[in-house]
This record gives sequence, structure tokens and C-alpha cells, in this order.
Amino acid sequence: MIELIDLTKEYPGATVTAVDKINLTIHEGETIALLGPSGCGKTSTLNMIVGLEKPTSGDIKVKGRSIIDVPIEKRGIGLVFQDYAVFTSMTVEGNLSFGLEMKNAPKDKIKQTVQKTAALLGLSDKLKLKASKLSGSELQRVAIGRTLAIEPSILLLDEPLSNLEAEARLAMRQELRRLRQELGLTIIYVTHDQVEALSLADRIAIMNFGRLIEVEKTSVIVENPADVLVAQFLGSPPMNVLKGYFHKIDGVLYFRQSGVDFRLSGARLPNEVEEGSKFFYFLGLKPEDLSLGPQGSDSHKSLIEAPISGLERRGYDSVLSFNVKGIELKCEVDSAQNPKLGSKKALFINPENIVIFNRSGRRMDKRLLIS
Amino acid sequence: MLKSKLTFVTAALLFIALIFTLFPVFWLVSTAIKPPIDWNASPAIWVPKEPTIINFKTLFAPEAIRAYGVGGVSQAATKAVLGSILASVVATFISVSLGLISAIGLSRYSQSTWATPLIILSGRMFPPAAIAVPFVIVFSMTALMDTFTGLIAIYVAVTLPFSTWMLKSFIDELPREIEEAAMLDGKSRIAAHFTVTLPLVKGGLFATTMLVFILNWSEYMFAQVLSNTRLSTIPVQLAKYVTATAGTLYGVQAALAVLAMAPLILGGYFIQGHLARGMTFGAIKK
Amino acid sequence: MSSLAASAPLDIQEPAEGQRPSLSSSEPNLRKPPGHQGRFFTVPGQIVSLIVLITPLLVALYMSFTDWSPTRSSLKAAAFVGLENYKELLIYDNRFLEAILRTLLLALICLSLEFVLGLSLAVLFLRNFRGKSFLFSAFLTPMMVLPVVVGYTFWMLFQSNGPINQILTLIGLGAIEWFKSPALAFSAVVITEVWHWTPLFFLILLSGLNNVPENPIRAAVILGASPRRLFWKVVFPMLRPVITVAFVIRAMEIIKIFDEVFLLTRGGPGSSTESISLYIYKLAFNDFQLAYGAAAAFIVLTASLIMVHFLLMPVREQLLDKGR
Repeated sequence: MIELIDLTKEYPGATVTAVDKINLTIHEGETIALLGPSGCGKTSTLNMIVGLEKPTSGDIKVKGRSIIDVPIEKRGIGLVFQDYAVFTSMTVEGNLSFGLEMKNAPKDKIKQTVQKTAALLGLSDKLKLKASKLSGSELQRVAIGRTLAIEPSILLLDEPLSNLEAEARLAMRQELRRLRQELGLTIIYVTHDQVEALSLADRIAIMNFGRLIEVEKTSVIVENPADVLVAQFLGSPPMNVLKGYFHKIDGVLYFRQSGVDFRLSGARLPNEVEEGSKFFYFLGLKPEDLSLGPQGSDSHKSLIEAPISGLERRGYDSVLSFNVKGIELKCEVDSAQNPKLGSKKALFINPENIVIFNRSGRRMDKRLLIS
Repeated sequence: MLKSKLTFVTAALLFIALIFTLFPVFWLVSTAIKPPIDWNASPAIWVPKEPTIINFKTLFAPEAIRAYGVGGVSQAATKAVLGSILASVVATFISVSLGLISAIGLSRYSQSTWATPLIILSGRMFPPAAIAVPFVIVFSMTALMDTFTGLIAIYVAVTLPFSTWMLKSFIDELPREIEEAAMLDGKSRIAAHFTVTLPLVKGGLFATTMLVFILNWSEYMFAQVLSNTRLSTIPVQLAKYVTATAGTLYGVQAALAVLAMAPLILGGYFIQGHLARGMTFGAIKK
Repeated sequence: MSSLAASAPLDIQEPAEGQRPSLSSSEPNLRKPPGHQGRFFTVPGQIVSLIVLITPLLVALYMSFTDWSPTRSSLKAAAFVGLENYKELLIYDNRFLEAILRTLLLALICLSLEFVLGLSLAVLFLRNFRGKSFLFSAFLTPMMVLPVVVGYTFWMLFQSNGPINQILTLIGLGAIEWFKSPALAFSAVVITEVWHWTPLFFLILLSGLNNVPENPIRAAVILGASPRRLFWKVVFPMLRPVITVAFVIRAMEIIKIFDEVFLLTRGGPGSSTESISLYIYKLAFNDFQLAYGAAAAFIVLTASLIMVHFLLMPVREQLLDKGR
């Protein structure tokens, strides 16, 4: 188990805090993905855990003991770099045995471990090859193997797949999943690619601007993000987010953003949600929950009517963009509907599917009620 | 990871290295401002009590030293200084101009083969003494001995491979696309070289010019074997003071050495960023 | 139009009827500049090299097969002696053979010292400290000094009443007559040369060290490498190409050595510090044995060519690939 407690990193001269009071507990045998755009502080976090950088404040505990003052090589944490950082002047064998040699392990133990690690990663027939002759995914295997050979209790992976070709990336993803199952390792995985995070991690920790925004089980986080920032970040395309307030016109509920009214017919507010321009909310509308109807059809039930301003076909599905006075909405529909650019459509949504976030961006447990 | 602060030991090592590096230069400069009585004193005088510029004066007005009771009057170094300037500037200009044209040709039109660098490096590889022999023979047949034309011709021929290769390494760094863009605007390819490429390699051109100038300015052997009465350069004159029958004019010689060295140290400072490339024929870029 | 333009010798192509050439029509022209154009560009340079370098070499080659000396007769009247000069040099001329061996020995000693010193200095420069850029410039100074000036300066320093002896006396070692014993004179040459060119090793190796990628170093630290093993097992191998370049360049320069030795020792005492260049110089310009000197020059030229070929093998890739 590893705990990050108020972990903070400030670089001298920088205006923003690179890592800002992060609290995170990672359980034994768990794979957690640190997900966020580049520059959000995930690599700094990784570097502090492994010991390449010293935190400005806060603590890191492994099995309850602080490791801040433990020297880098005694922490028992392995790091695999984005660019692999394989020692190209050595053979594959030289790379795999490097860590144990540095720890002056006995010769036969080194030999045994190298054989085992090579077998695990499918490198057995490449042991005598110079590392400079290897392909990208082979280098990746060597980098992982080199780290596994010192039997770390925690494995950190920094964007491990981003330098690989699409095909190799898929294979390597499978490989990582297999390793995790076989070795039962605790893995912290840094990535900016949500597909990668979703397909590998047990839990996802989302970071932005040095802060930890949300930590949640992978299965939950997409369906029901706890923070509006996460909602805007996850999913493809991500959730539509409206910013505004609820109000009623002639007894019908509307949500108003910068002068545009979105009709929520047949819905009423739950107790905790207030009406009026003083009460600011975010609404999350999943693109796949939106549906289309011809212009003018059931207009008293539609959310809004707007022309299709963008169209992206993705095989069976198409992603449509609607632009309502500068507010963009995306909607995922069956390609068989054969939407046409520029044609005006009515948009519908079941109000029960709308996620409500309070003014500070946290998700509310309540949803709209159907009257 | 290797980067850390300076410890006392490493600081001390750096300091010792600095002393070793600068001491010879210090000694040279100090000798250049010594009055004749201090020149060859035993024990040696490190810093003259009465520094003087008489040595520098003597370079251009040999009689001046008489005031200090030195009998042997040397030749004036005026001719050598002017000769060095003339030969180095003209040869550098021609070498870099021809080199620039060749460099464009090599960089933009031909696939370089292994033979090219071999030939170019071999040109620098020949011991000057080995080429000096044939030069003297042919030059004495063609009345080029003891002329600036002859010396400049040799300097151009010897430095041309260097300037070509250096400039090529700079031009190679520019993508061809920038010229192609200009060509799509209706410029000819040749015009594109000079209006688009050339301004972008200004820095490289300056560095190359400086490096070729340093090579020419420092050259001793060719100037020595070609020169007789009309031709002279600073290195030739410098070596002559040693053999002067009136004994060695330490201070005067040091003054000339300082004059010879100053522009190179100054110029070297300006092209510091390109020194590694210049010294390794472009094998190392920074 | 596209085929016409592509086959024109120089593509100073005026678009027909004032039309701008479309991207596709000028494509073959842009992508594949015809090779024969390039020759025009290198012609002026080649002419200069041909006339100034090649002609004298050919004349000298002929001369090396004669017994000509300007003090005796004209070149035309000289007797053709075949390979006599070469035979003499390679079999009987001990001074020539010794000069060759001495030059190689000098190269070996100087390059080793320059490498060790240059590397140490470069490693010190990996640290951050104040005045670093000033020190960097200062350490490069010797390289900028003219070889003749270096020779003259060290000649002064090594005088029997010079500052070096003064210091040696001060620390109790006693004054040394540097130019009177062969071994000491040779040491003086080594010291001079090491002072002059260690900065080049420093410059090249520091550039190499600064360009070593950081992540392999970090990886090694995480895997538990001590600073010493980190340097020798990880950093040093990555530095190897740069080290090779430094050695090759310096080797090529030092086997030509002349100016410094000429001003420092004149090859003395006797011929104990005579480099190969100095010997040829003396043959031709002091003893006027031009034909014999030319033969010696050609032996050295040929040997240099072969040597440079082998020396360049390891850096071939760097000079070619990185140049492109």
C-alpha cells in the first residue's frame, strides 16, 4: 500500500504549483492510472514517488512508513520511462541484469532472474542482441524487464505506450494486463490517453493543474463523473456541459445559459436544487443520450432546435455537432439516420439522464424528477 | 543526475587548471611589457616594476629600443603585420566565397558519397612540409616565389575543403522546402539559394569565415618557405627574432606575439558556439 | 510541361504564358534536382585545387625519381634514378624512420594525456557553479593561440633561467636544462602540445557529455548504480562516438606537428625531437636535397592517406549521416 499525503511540488520561479496537495491511497495489487493532460503534474508526482525529485512538502508512505528520506535505490520502486531509456550500448542481457549487478547480487541469482524475466517478456531468444538493434516494442519489453528484475514492490509506468505504433500499442496493452495478473504488482500508470487508462486501470485518478480532481473506479467514472472537469475530459466525445441556471416559463422548466433556453419539459427540480438566476449549476448531457427528431416534431417536448453544424462519421455511429449561439452540443446517433449538414433538427433527452453539478463543479446525487 | 554543486576539492582542481591554462599567456603578455633589462633577467621577473610599451613601439620603429641601450636593431615588423592582414583577408574571402558555392552544390544537388569527406579531410591531413616541397619547386619555375599571389593561392587551396565542408554542414541543417517555397513564388532555384538560404546561414558563414581566417593567420610553414625579401607574415617575422644575431629580443618578440594572438582570442570568443563543429569538420554540432 | 521542365538543364523555368506553375506540375523538378547541375557549383573550387595542389604534386612526384638538387643542376638535367630515393629512405635512413616513430610516439603520449585531462575537466564542468561561462572561455584560450606563438612562449618558459625552473627550484627540485637532454626536450614538446590542445578534448567531450540523454542516467540511478559505475557503465559508452571523433581529429593534426617543435627545440638536441614534418623541412630547405625530400614527402603522404582512411572508418557515419 502506498499513500500520498498532501504531496506538493513547487519549482523555483514557476508561477503555478506543479503538484498541489495530492492525497491518494493506492492499495496492494491495484493498478491505478494517473490521467490528465500534459503538464498537469503527473510526471512530477511519479518522480517524487520514485525519488528523482524531492517534494516541497507532504509525505509519501509505503506500508505505513515514510520513504521521503530513503535513498532512491532502496525504495524498491521501479520506473519505466516513456522513451524506454534502455542502455543501447549493452545487450538485452546486460540491460536485464544491470539492476542486480549494481546490487552485487550473486552470479547464479542474476542468471536465473535474467532467464525468468526474459521468458516472461518473450525476450529469451534476444538476450545476446545489442539493444540498439531492437524495435520499439522490444525496447519497451527490455525497459519493463530491466525494472521487474529488481523485483520492485511498486511499478511506475510513465506513458509507456505513447511512443509505440498503433498495432504494437494494442499488443503491449494486452501484455501489461497479463503481467499484472501474473505478478500481482501494484502499478501506477501515467497517461494522457483515456482509452489506455480505461482499458488497464482498476481505478483512475484524474489530475489537472497539479490537483487531483477525482479518484474513482474505472467502471463508475465514465458513467457518473464526480466532477464537471472530469465530465468534460472523459468519454469520446466527452459529455456536453451546460453552465447556467434553472427557471420556469409558464410552468415549464428551462435551463438558461447565456440567453439560450433549453427546455426540460415534463421535469421538475428535486428538493436540493434551487431555481433562479442566483443559483448556478452545470448540467452534463451525454452525447449518446441525446436523440434527434425532425424540425417541428413534438416541439413542446424537445430540448432545443438547431441546425447540424458539424458531422463526423465513425462507422456505425456519427457524431453531430450543433451550435446554438456559441454553445456547442455534441450528439451521437446511428449513421443509418443519414444526417445532413445544415439541416435543422430537434434535440431530445430524457431529463432523468441529465447529471447535475453544483456551482463548484461537484456532482450532485439528485437528478431531475419526472412529473 | 550527474549535476551537483561544486565541492571544495573540485573548486580547487578547477583553480589549478585555470592557473596552468592562463600562465603561459600571462607570461607572454608580461614579457611584452618588460623593459629590456627585465627581458632575460635571472631570476626571471614575473611582473615588471616599470611596465613599458617600448617593445610595441620597436616593432614599427626599430630605432626606439636604442634609448634602452640595446645595440642590435631589428627589422621593422610593419611589413609582416601588413602582409599577414593582406594574405589572410584576401585568402579567407576567396576561400569562403568559393566554398559557399561548392557547399550549395554539394548540399543541394548531389548525394554525398564517402569519397567527398575523405578527400576533404585528406587535404587537411597532409603534413604541410610534404606539400611545401612541391610548391617551392613549381613556384620557383613560375616566378610565384616571394609573392602574395603565390601565398594566397596556397592558402585558398588548403582551406577551401575546410570552408566547403563547414558551410555544407550549416546549409544541410536548413530544409530544402524553404527554397522550394520561394521557387513556387516564381524565383529560380539559383535565386532562391542566394535570397532565401544565404540569409539563414549568416551565423554559419561568419563562423566559417572566422575559422578560415584563424587558419590562415596562424599558418607558418608555407609563408616561411615562400618568403624571401618581398613577402613576410607575422609568424615568419616572429620566428626571425629568435635567430637575430644581436641576441634574442624577448620583449619585442613577445609584443609581436601578443599582437598576433589578440585578434584570434577575441574572434574565437565570438564563435565559441561553433568551435566544436569547426574543429571536428561538422561531426559534432554543438 | 512537367516533363519539359524536368529535363531542362537549369530549372530557371519561366511559367508558360504567365501561368503560375501548379504544385503538381513542378513537383518532379522540386523533388529531384538533376545531379549534373551540382557539378557546376563545385567546378571553381575543383579548378583551384587542381591547379594549386595537383600540379605541384605531379612535378614533385617526377622529381622524387631523380637526383636533382637546386645547388647542382637544373631539374631537366637531373639524372633519373628510379626508386633509389625511396629505397634509401625506407631501408637506410634511420633519421627518417626514427622521425616517423617519434611522431607516432608523441601522438600516443600527447593524445592519452590530453584525453585524460580533457575528460576530467569536462566532468568538472557538469556541475553548476558561478562564473562557469567565463571559465569555459578561459579554458578554450590555448586553442586559439597561434602554434608559432605557443612554441615561442614555451621556449621562454623552459629557459634555464625561466619561470618553470624558478618554480622547480622553489619547491626544491632544482633547475633543469630542458633543451640539453633528449628526454627532457621531448617532455618539453609533450607539455607544450598538451597545453595547446587539451582544450579541444575538453570542448568535444563536454559537448558530448551535455548531449547524453538524461533518462538512461536516471534509470541507472533508480536501479542502484553508484556514481562511479554510472559513469563507466552508462555514460562512458554513450560518449564513445564523441571520444572517437576527438581522437581522430587530434591524431590527424598531431602527426603534422611542425611549428611548435620548430620554435621550441628546432628538433634538437641533435635530432632527438625531430618530427616527421621537421625532418622533411630540414632535408628540403636547409640541405637543399629537394628530390630526396620530395620522396620522403610522398612516403608520408601515402602513409597519411592510408592512415586517415583507417582513422576515419569509425566516424564515417557521423560525418556523413549527421551531415545530411
